[in-house]
Amino acid sequence: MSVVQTTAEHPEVRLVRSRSSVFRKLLHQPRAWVFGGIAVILIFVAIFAPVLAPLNPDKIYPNGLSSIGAPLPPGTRGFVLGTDDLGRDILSRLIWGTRISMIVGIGATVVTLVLGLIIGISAGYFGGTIDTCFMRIADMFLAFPFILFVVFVATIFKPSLTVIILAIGVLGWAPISRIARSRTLDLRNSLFVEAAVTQGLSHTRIIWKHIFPNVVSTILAYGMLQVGTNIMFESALSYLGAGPPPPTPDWGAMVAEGQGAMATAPWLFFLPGVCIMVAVVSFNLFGDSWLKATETTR
Amino acid sequence: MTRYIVKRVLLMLLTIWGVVTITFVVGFLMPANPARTIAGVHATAATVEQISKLYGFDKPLSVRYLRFLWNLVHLNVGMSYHYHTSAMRIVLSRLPATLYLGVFAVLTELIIGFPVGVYMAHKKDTWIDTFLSSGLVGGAAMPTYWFGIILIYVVAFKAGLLPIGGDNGWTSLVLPALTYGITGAAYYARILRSSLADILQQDYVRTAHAKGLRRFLITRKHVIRAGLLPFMTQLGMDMAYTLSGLIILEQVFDWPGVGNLVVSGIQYIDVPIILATTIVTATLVVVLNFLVDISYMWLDPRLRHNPS
Repeated sequence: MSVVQTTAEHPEVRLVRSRSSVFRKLLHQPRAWVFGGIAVILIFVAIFAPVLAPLNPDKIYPNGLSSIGAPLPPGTRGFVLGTDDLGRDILSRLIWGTRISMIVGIGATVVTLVLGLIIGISAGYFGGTIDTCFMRIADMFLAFPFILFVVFVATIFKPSLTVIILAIGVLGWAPISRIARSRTLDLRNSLFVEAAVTQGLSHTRIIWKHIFPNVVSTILAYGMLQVGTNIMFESALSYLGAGPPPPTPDWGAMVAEGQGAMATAPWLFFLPGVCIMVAVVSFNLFGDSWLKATETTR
Repeated sequence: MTRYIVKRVLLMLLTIWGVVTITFVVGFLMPANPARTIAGVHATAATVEQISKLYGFDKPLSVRYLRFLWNLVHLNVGMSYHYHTSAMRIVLSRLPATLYLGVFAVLTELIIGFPVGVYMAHKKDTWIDTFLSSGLVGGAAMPTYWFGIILIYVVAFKAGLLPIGGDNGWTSLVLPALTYGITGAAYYARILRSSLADILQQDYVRTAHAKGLRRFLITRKHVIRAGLLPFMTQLGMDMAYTLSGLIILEQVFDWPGVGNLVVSGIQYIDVPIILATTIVTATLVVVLNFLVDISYMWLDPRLRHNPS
C-alpha cells in the first residue's frame, strides 16, 4: 500500500501516473492487442455496415433460392456465405447483425455502468442506511433469473432496440454497483481520502476528484467484460423471440431461424453462432487483460 | 444459531416481497391497456371497459397492489390470456419438469467441471494448463443454445443416436444435460482452478507434503475441502443464472418445462404467464440461496458459533 502514501501528498500526480501505466501495461500484453484488435474491427464493421455489406440484408432475392426453393449453400456466386430459407444474403445479414450486437452490447453497458457507479459510490461513501437499502435492493435484483426478467420487461413494452438496451442496462446494475461499492469502501478508508476530509473538502469534491477517478478505472475493465456478457444476453433474448422484431438482422434470431432448417441448411444456424462466439471471446479476453492491468497497478 | 436462522428467514421473506413488488411495478408500467390485450383488437370499447371492470384495472393503484398481494398469497396472478386458466397453476404444473432437467444439468456440469478444475490447479502454468484454459474460455463464450443445436445436428440428426427433442424418457435427457454440462463446466473449472491454486500454496499443504502424506490424500483432505466453500458460494450465487440457462435450454430441446411456456408467453404477449414464471423462479432462487447459506453451517463448523 506504499502507493497510497505517496498519494496523500500528491493525489493528482498519482492519478495521472496510474492511468497511463494501466494503459502501458495493456500495450505490453500481446493478448490485449489481439483481442482488443478484434473488438475494434467488430465496432468498425458495425459502424460501416452499409458500406461493407455486399447486398441489402432484408431484401428477398428471387435468385437467392435454388430451383427447388432451398437455400443456397456458402460459396455460391453472388452470395458468398449462401442464403437463408427466404433467399436473403447471409453475409450481409451477419454484417448488419454486428451492428445490433454492438449497439446493444455497448449501449446497455453504458447504462449499467452509469447506474452502477452512482449507486455503488453513494452506497460505499455514505454508508449507513443508504448502503443497507441499496444493497438489499441489489440482492432482490440478483434473485431474478436475469433473462426472464428482461424477457418480462421487453414483452410488456414491445421489444424494440431502445427497450432492449434499457431493459438489459437498467436491470443489470446490481453486480457492477457491488464492485463499485467495495472499491469505494477501500478508498474511503485510505489515507488520502482521510487527508481530503481533514482539509475540509466537500463531499461532492471528494467523490468527484478522489473517489470517482480511482473507481472508474476498475469499473471500466468490468465494463469490457460486461459488453461480452450483454452481447450474449442480447443474442439469447433474440433466440427466445424477445429481441428486435423481424426482419431486423440479428445473430440470435438467425440461429433460431436456422434451427428449423437444420436438415437442409446447417450453415444457417452455424455461422451466426460463430459470430457471437468471436464477439464474446474478444470482449471478454480484452476485459480480462484490462482487469489484470488495473489490479497490478493498484 | 436459532437467532441467525430466524433472521435469515425474515430476510428471505423481505426479499420475496421485494421481488413481487418489483414485478408488480414493472407490470403496472405496461404502456398497452391490458384489458385491450385480453379483449383482442376487434373488441368494442364497451367490451374493453367491461373487462377492465372485471379484472379490476379501473381501481386505484393501492387497491390493485393490495389485491395483487392478496391473490398472490392464494397463488393466483390471474388468468393466462392464451390458455384461459390460472397462469400460476400452469406454471407450477410445468415446474417439476424444469427442476428434473436442472438437477441433471447441474450434476453433469459438476461431474465434468470438478475434475478438470482440480487437475488444472495442480498443473498451473504448464502448457497443459494454458491449453485447457484457452479451451475453457472458448467453451464459456459459446452460446448454450448454439452448442445444443450443434449437438442435436451431429448426435441426433446425423448419427441418429438420441432423440432430437421433447421428453421421451431418459434418452431425451442426455443431450440437454451434456449441452448445459459442457458449457457450464468451463466456467466452474476456471473458478475451481484459481481458488485451489491459492490453497496449494498454503503452508499447511506444504507441511502435509513434508510429513509424507500421499498426494491424493492431501488433495482430498486438505485442498478440496478448503476449496469447497467458496465453490458452494459461487454455485449458490449462480442459481438465478442457472435458471436462466435452463429456460433457454428447454427452448432448444423442446423440453416441456417452464422455459417452453415462457417462449409461448412471449409470442402471445401472455403477461400473466411471464409474471407467474418470474415470481415462481425468483422465489425459488431466494429459497435455494437460503438453503445454501444454512448448509454452510454444516460444512464449516466455525460458522456454527459465529454465523454472521
